[in-house]
Amino acid sequence: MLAKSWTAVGSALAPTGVGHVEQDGFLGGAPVEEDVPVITFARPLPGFPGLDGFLLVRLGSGEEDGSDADATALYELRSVQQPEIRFLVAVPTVFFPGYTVELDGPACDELGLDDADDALVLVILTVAADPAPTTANLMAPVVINARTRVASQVILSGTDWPVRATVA
Amino acid sequence: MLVLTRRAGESIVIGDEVRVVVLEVRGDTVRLGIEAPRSVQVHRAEVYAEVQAANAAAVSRVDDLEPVAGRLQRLARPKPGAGPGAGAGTGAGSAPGPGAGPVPGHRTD
Repeated sequence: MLAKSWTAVGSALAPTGVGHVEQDGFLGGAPVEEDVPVITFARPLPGFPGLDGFLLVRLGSGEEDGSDADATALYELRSVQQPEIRFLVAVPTVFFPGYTVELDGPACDELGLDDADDALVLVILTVAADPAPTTANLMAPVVINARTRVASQVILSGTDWPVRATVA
Repeated sequence: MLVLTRRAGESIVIGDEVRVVVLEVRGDTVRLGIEAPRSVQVHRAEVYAEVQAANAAAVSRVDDLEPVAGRLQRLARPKPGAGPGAGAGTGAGSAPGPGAGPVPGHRTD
């Protein structure tokens, strides 16, 4: 096993850590304006060659309950090159409290990660037609280096995390 | 396709940097060892194909993800006093009650 490995626990990662820039700060507790981070995939998502730039758009910040935006668990991952390619992604530990991701050396190298605090772990959700459950891909999370905004979908080979874990 | 015959302990090289060693052959099972640069991704083909298929299935079919995000967000942080399904008040009238939907097989491989 490679020495350079560590465990990233998603709940320890504030979603804002990915590098939201609050240009105008907050007014009355509501974000007035923010940049949408552009992340770059070091290696395109399997099945989507050539798409390396994605916007990470925070969802749910306009919720009627007015809860604090830092608790946001859901984002839209939207291709820069093909904006019709959009994924719903989530902070996994909100739905799967026991979920942890261990990155091996090559994955850390690819992302330029040497500090677990820089890693933002998101999972891709599949929203099916009504009776079927929404599922999360825990086998292949998207890991983002929050400092550099470089990302990659890491396939956790050798683990039992399912590709389709039921969310709801 | 190039076809080669190898015995346990023998190997092949692919390019300058990838070596595949046949470690053991037992019945219809072959154990392989792979040496490759860190930049080369090595996965079981079926695992990679499954991730590809899951990604393809996950592309959103709706223009606005906010409603579904809102629904899931409420699931993630149940409000005090809200019973199961109580947060679904904004959903369509056809929403099934608890336990009404089929539960597809939960893949664990």
